[in-house]
Parts: sequence; structure tokens; C-alpha cells
Amino acid sequence: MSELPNDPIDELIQRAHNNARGAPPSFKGRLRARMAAEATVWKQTRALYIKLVVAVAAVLVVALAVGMNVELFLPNRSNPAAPPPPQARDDQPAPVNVPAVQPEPGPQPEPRQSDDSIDKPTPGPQPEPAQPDDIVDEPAPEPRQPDDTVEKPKPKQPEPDAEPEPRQPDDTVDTSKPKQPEGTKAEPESETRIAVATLIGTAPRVQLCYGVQDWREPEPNEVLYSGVQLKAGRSAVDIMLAGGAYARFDGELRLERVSDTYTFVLSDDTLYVDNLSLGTPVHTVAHGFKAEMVDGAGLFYSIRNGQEVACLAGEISLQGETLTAATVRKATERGVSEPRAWKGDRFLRDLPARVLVREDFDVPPPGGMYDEGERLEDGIAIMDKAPRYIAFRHNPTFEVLPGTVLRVRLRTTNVSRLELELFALNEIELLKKNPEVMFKQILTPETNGEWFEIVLPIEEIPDNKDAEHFLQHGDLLRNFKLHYVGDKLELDFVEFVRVQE
Amino acid sequence: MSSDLELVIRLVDGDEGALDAIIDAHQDAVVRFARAVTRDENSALDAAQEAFIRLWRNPKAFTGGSLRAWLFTVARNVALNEFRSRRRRTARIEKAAVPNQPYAPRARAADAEQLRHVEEYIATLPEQERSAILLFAAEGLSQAEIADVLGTSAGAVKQAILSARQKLRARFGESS
Repeated sequence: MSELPNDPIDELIQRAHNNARGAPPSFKGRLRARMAAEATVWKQTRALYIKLVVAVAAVLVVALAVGMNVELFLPNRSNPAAPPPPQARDDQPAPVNVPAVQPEPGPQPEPRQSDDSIDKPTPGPQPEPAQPDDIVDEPAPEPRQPDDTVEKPKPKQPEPDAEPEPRQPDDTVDTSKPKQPEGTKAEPESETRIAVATLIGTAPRVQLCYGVQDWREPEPNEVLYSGVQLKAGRSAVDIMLAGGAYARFDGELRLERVSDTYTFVLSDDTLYVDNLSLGTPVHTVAHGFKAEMVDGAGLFYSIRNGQEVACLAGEISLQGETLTAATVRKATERGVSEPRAWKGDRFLRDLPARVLVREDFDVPPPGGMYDEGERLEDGIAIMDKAPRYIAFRHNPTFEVLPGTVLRVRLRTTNVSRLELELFALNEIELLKKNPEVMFKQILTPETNGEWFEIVLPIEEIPDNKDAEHFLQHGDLLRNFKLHYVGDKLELDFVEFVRVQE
Repeated sequence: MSSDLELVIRLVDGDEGALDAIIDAHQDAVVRFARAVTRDENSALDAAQEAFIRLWRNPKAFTGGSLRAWLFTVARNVALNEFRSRRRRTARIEKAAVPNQPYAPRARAADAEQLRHVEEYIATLPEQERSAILLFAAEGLSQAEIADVLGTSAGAVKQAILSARQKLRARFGESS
């Protein structure tokens, strides 16, 4: 097949295509974040797999030791001169010389020394990256068990099975709770002192508990810790995760945090989570079916024999299958269903806005004010002279998310006109000398001398040079700047919130 | 040995710097192409991201040739799979995206505006033609490489390119 000859129209096509935007500035960061999250999950899963393998080996060692009167030859290993252990197993008669079938294990603490049967659990096949068991199995026996079992020349303790160690290093040394049976996750014996979330206000009859504690009503805005179990009452409950993600649920669930990942184990009903652009992965588990959301917003339903997920923004993985925005999939024993269009859910009605950035002017914003003569007094930013604007910089830059709304509470004195200017990094303009694009909105004050609020969907603010181009998801805002024509401008707060469409 | 292949070999060896270099070198082109395929910003970004993710997960899947073409292939497949699963929705989007009025270039229209119109018009072409002409004219891929990306024959690629050219020439020929 001969190559086509050049055609003058090709150049126009090339210029048009190359004139189009490339990857947005946040593309690589998001990509790397997703890779990092996947790598973390993969490492956790692999570590868990190894733990399980080693734990199985430990159980085998114990079983073998019990079966073969292992105490008889243990003293001969590291301390041949030592007398027989003072505390032989109760269930064993006086040791009789058992042929030393075991080779010398040597002093090293490796768990797989002598038995062929123990040698099996070498970390062989790699586990698949994201499998659903890592949460549920999290308190599985720690891998140290087999080491202790094999290497120590001490008499065995009579515990039957490998007992799980407390899994978090900062577990509360809690008190009078009875130990939980090993390996079960259902009732953590103590709350893990990792603050994971805060209740937003109080929902009627919401209840919480940790482990085997009794259910109780929480305090308003109570801080929640890893392992908390929550039960909604008459209405849905809103919580804010420590990383800034927002969640609303109905029904009953347990919330845990391992590393940076938040896991909701749904007992029933519905959960909504929004962690868009936060880098705080959220997993949900219902009936053993797992969904993972690194960066997005979604609804998670505990259904009969499975989990149903609606992706509202970003991307969600359900049992390894991907959901993109506005799609719904269901995972059951029959597998993951094909995606279908999401049609909305009344559960999201009256969803509180998620605050992305808020400046109260009690202190200067992290990026600093422009310092053009404005002053901060009692949580109010005030300007009453040239250059007649109040402005501050975002630090870090603030990424526009879908549904972002700007809210400003302000008071004007003899002001006839307001000009809102937001400078954004724009990928098209990055190729030029000045990479900033100004988005501008002209407003007229509603009142004079009285406080009022401006509420402005940010995606309706146009490019100052191109009225058809608006701020959009992914744009990075560098600042907030409000000009005025008149005597005086006062700002009580400026906030960017995300509302669920 | 091509530099792309060297980078991928380094990636196989766990060199994260190689991954950065690959992303930096190809992200714009892959996103642009994915956008042309999907005509939807979010879907395009998802597809482009997925292409890089798949390379990162399994760099050995790339066995040589043009890495960019390989990334295009993955991004397009991801995008089309997603499209098929949302066909009903997409149909609405397509309908809305097709301009109703024929393009009438103003006598001295700004260059940027004309390029935008060209891009918009290309977006209305059938997917196969759209992808083929962009990969050929804008990305400089050979017919054989395009055939690999599109999963079709070189003859079909040639036909698609000629068809797209003809349509574009009919509309923009006098001003190009």
C-alpha cells in the first residue's frame, strides 16, 4: 500500500489539532496519584498475602509441634545443657525420647527451617493488585507468630492458634474489654485512636459505638475514630472525613482507616462519598464486594447479595471493573453488570455543599493578601481607598471541580459596580508567555451599607477575552480579586464550595 | 533502539524517571487524540489516563514500534468501550455537537477562530475518518501504524483519510 501524497489541507488539520488543548496541568498529577494509590493497594495486598501465608505456616508448625511432642527436642537446640523445660504441655505425658527427626533449625529466626511442610509458604505467585479482602482480613494474625513459634527454645504456651496481635500501633490500650476472638473483624475490642471523621451537626437518632460498646447517641460534631460503627436514625447522616472528603449515609456501616485509605463496610442501605481531587482513597465493602474510589464522587448501595455503585464524578472501580461518571454497575455473585446510565437519587437532595476553600479573614489567607492597602479587622477584610480592590492568592492553587460555587458575604458603601477577577492557569495559555487567563464577572451590589451574599456558579464565569470560554473542571485558580467602583468594600468571608449537581 | 523503547525498558526495570519522561513526551498528544475520539473532556482524560496506567502496569505489553501509536490504540479502545456502554447518552451528545448551520468563513476570520472551526468540523466526521485523518495529518503516523491503532486495514485507512480530506477540502479548501 503506497503512502498517500501530501495534501495542503493536511497542514490546516495539523494546525487545528495542535491548536487544541493538550493535557491539562493536573493530568500528570492525577495520573501519578492514581498510580501511587494502585501501588499502595498492591503492596498492601501483597503484604497481606505474605502475612496469611506465614500465619498458615505458623499454624502448621504449632500443629506439628503438638503432634510430635516437640518439647522433647526443643531444649537440645539452642541450649543443649539446659534442662527440660519446666512447663511441659499439660496434655502431654512425660516426654519420651522421640527420634530427632527434625534437623537442627539453627539460631536464625527464619520461620521455615526444618519441616518440608513449613517450607511451602514461600512467597510465590504475586497477588493481583486489587482484591477485595485486604480490609476484611486486616486483623489477621500478624506474621511474627511463626517466628516466635519456631525459634524460641522455650516451652510452648498453651494457646491453640496464632493469636492476632493488636493491629494498629496506636490502638487505645483499652481497659476492660474482653478480648475478641482472633481473626474476626466484627467487633473490634477497642477503638483505634485515629481520628477519621467528624459528624456534621446532629442527625436525629443517629447512634454510634466502638467494638462491643453499647450504642449511644453522639455529641454534635463529634470526632470519630477508626473502627467506629454508625447507625443512622430517621434521616441520613453527614460526616466529613479527615482528609476533607464528604460522606452521607443511611443505614448502618463501619468506618476504618488503614494508611491513607478510608474503608466503609456497609451493613445495609446507602452511602454517598465525594473525595474528588483530595487524594484520599475510599473503599467500600458490602457483602464482600468491594469498590474503590481514588478520586471521584459516588453512591454505594448495599443490596441483596452484593453492592451497587453509581459513579457521579471521577472514576470508581467495582470488583476491578471501572465506572465512569454518570454510570451505575452492580456486583453480585454473578459478576459485575454492564454499566447503565445513572438517573439520579433523591438521597442526594439537600446535600450540604462541600467546602473546598474558605477565607474568613481572621488571619491572612495562606497565599497572602495582595497588601494594597486593605486591612483585616475582626474577621473582616476592608478596603476604602485606591486601588479599590480586595484580593488574595490561593496557596496551593485551587482546582475547579464540577459544581463549584463561589460564595462571598460582603458589604458595600456607595458602590455602583463590582468586578470579580479570577486568574487561572490554563493549559492553552501555558504555551504562551503569560500562562494566566483572567475570568471576569461584573456584578451590581444588591444593597448599600448592608451585608449580603453573592452566590455564583464558578463554571459560569467567562474568560475575559473569550466570552464563550468559561472556567471549567481542572482549571487552577491562582487568586481571588474583587474590584469595586465606589467608597468602601468589606468582605466577611469568601468560600468555594462544591455542590452536587 | 528507539528512545521510546529504551524508556519502556527502563520502566520495566522500575525506573520511575522513565515513566515521567514518557508521560511528559506523550500526554498532550494522547489527550488530544482521545478528545478527538470521544469529543468529551472527561472521557478523554479518563481514556488517556488509562492508556498510561496500562503501560505502567504492564510495560512489557509494549513490544516495539511507536509508543505513541500504542498509547493511541489503548486510549481509543478504552474510549470506544466506554462510548459503547453509554451509547444512548453519546447519541445525544453527538446530535448536539453537529453544527446545524454550514460553516461560512468570514472574509478575514481570525486564524485561531478558523482553526477552532476546523477542529469542530473534524469532530463531526465519523470516528474512523476523524481518527485516521488526525493520526495521519496531525500526528504523522504511517498508514500501517494507523491501521494498527484503528484495528483495520491500511486500505481502509487510506479510504478514510481520502474521504476526510475531501470533506474538509470542500468546506475549508478555499481558505486553507
